[in-house]
Amino acid sequence: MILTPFARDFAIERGIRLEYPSEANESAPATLDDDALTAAILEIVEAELGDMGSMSSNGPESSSPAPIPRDDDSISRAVSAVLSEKHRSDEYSTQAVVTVAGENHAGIIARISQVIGDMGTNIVDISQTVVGDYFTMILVVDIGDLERSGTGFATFRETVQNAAKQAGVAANVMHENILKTMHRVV
Amino acid sequence: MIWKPDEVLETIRMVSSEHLDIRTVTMGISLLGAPSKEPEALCEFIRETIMRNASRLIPVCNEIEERYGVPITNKRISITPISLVLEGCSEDTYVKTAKCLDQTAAELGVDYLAGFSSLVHKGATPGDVRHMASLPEVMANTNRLCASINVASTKSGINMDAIKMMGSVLKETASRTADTGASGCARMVVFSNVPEDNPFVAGAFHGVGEPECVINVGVSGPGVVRAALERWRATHPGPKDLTAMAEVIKKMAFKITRAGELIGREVVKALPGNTRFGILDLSLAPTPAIGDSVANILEEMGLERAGTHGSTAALAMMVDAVKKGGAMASSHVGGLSGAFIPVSEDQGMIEAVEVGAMSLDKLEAMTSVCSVGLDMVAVPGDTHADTLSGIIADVMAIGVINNKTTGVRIIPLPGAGPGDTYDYGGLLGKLIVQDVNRYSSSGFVQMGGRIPAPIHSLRN
Repeated sequence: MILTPFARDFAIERGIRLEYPSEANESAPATLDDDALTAAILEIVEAELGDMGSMSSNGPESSSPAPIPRDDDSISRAVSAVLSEKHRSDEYSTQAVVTVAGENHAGIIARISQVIGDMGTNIVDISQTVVGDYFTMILVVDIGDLERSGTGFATFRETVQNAAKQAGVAANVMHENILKTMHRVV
Repeated sequence: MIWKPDEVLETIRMVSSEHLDIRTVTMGISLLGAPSKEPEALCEFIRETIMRNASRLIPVCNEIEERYGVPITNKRISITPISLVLEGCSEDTYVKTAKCLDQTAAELGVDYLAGFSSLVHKGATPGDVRHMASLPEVMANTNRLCASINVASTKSGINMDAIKMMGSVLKETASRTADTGASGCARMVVFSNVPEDNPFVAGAFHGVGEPECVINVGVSGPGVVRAALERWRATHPGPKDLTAMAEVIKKMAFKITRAGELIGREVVKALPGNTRFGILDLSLAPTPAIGDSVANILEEMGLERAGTHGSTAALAMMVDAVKKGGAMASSHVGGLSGAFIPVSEDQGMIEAVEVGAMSLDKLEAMTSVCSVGLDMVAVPGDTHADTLSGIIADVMAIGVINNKTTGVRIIPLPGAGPGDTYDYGGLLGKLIVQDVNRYSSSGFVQMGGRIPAPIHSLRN
C-alpha cells in the first residue's frame, strides 16, 4: 500500500506500526495493522466532512462535529471542496519523473530514495520491476518544496543522476510538464 | 501510477535518441519608430532596441533547456522588414545598418538575425529598390544577417520586374561571396505570400501587423516521425494502409507540437513583460545530422528514394497529417507550418540527388504541397540571371495560384558544374550542383511588368 506523507504522519501519530521492506527481507511483504489503519482513515474523512458541515450550520464554536450529511449530493460537494482546497493546482505541476534502469543488486531503491528524501522532496508514486537480471523503476517525485526554496530542477536532476551512478545504475530525470503536455489532451 | 511506463519511455526515447528538439526560438522585434534617419543615430536606435528586448533571450532559453531536457537548438532574432525602417535614407545607410545588425547579433550570441527584407509584391518603392540593389554588398559584409524579398502574392499577382532584378542580384551576391561557397545566397530567400511570423531563417521577419516583441517557436522532429513510422511498420498488428499511416504521423505531430507549446510559453513567462507569445510553426525541418531527415520519412513511407514517383503524394499526406496533429496541440499555429525540403540540409535529400533520384523539376512539383520548395538548391555557376529569374517565377506562380507560401533559396555556385559539391559544414550542410534547363527564359523574363492576380483572389 502506498501512503501519502499526510497519511504516513497521521498513522505514526495514532501509533499504527508501519513496516517497509528492508534490504534484509526484501521478499517479505510490508505488514500493516489493517483495521486500525482503516479506522484512522475513516476518522480523517469524518473530521474533514464534519468541519465542512459544522462551519455551515453550527458555527466554529461548536465543540463536537455535526452529524455527517448522508445524502450523496452534499457528500460529494464537501469532498470536492476539501480536495480542491487542498490541491489547488497551477496550470503546471511541480513533479518530476525519475526512471532508473540497470543491473539488479541490493541497495538501489534505498540509495535513490535516501537522496530524494535528503533533498526534502517526496516520492509520490513508485513502479518497480525486476526482469531477469535487469532492474527498472519509475518514481514520481514532488519537487515543489525544493523549487520554492530556490534550488533548481537541474540540481535535483544532477543529484539523482549521480546517486544512480554510484548505485551502479542509470537514471533519467524528466520534469512532469513534458509528459503532461505530450500525453494528456486536457 | 499516473504515467504509464511506455509513455515515460516514449518521451525519453524521443528526446535522447530521436532528435526531438525545439528547432528555433525566434524573437521578433519591431524596429518601427526610429527617431532619426541619420545612419549613426539610426544604428544606435536599432542596437538599443534589439539589446533591450533580447539580452535575456539566450540565458532564458538555456534555463528552460536545462529544466526540461529538450534542447533548444537555435535562438534567433527577426526584425521589421528593413526597407520599411530605411525608406527615405541615403544609399550608404543600407550597408551601415546591415553591419550594425550583424554586430548586434554577434554581441548577443545569436547565430542569425533575419529581416533585412522588403515587400514588393505590388511594386517597389525607391527605398525597396535601394534595398535590393544593396544586397550583394550587404551579404558580402555580414555573416549572420538574413535577407528576404516578397515578390508575389495571391492578391497582387507576380512582380516580374522585381524577379528580373533578383536574378541579377543573386548572381552578383554569389560572385561577391564566392570564396565562401556563395554563402550570401544561402542567407537570402525570395518569397510569394510570405508569412509575417515565420520563425525559421533565412526567411524570417517581424511583420507589420505584429506587436512590439514576440516569441515564435519552431518545433521539429523529422527523426521522431520517422522512428514512429518504423516502429509502427515493425510492430503494429492491425491493417497497415495509408489511412493508418497518416494517423501515426498525426499523433506524433501532436506530441511534438505540445512540447513546443510548453517551451514557448515558459520562455515568454521568463522574459521581460512586453514580450508576447506569437505562434508555433509546425514545420518539419531537417538538419544534416543522421536520422534528422525529411527525405528519410518519405522513404520510410515506402518510396525507394525520395524524389521518385509518388513523392509529391507522400509529402502531401505527411504535411497534412502534421498540420492536423499540430493544430490541436497549440493555441496559435502560424509561420509556414508545412515541411522543409532544403537539399543541402537534409542527408536523405543529398543522397537522393547524388544517386540521381531527385531532380530540380521534382523539387518544383513538391513545392506545391509543402512550404519552401526550392530551398538550398545549387545550380551551375554559369547559369544565366534570367534563368534564375525563370526558376523563381515558376515557384512564385505555384504559390500565387494555390494561395500558399512558396520560396526560393537558390545558389549559383561560381565555377561549379552539375555534380560538383561544396560543404558549408554545420547547419547549412552540403551543396550538390543540379543542372538547369539549357534553353533560354530571357524573352519572357525581360518583358517585365506584373502578372495580374488570379481570379480566385476575388473572394469578397
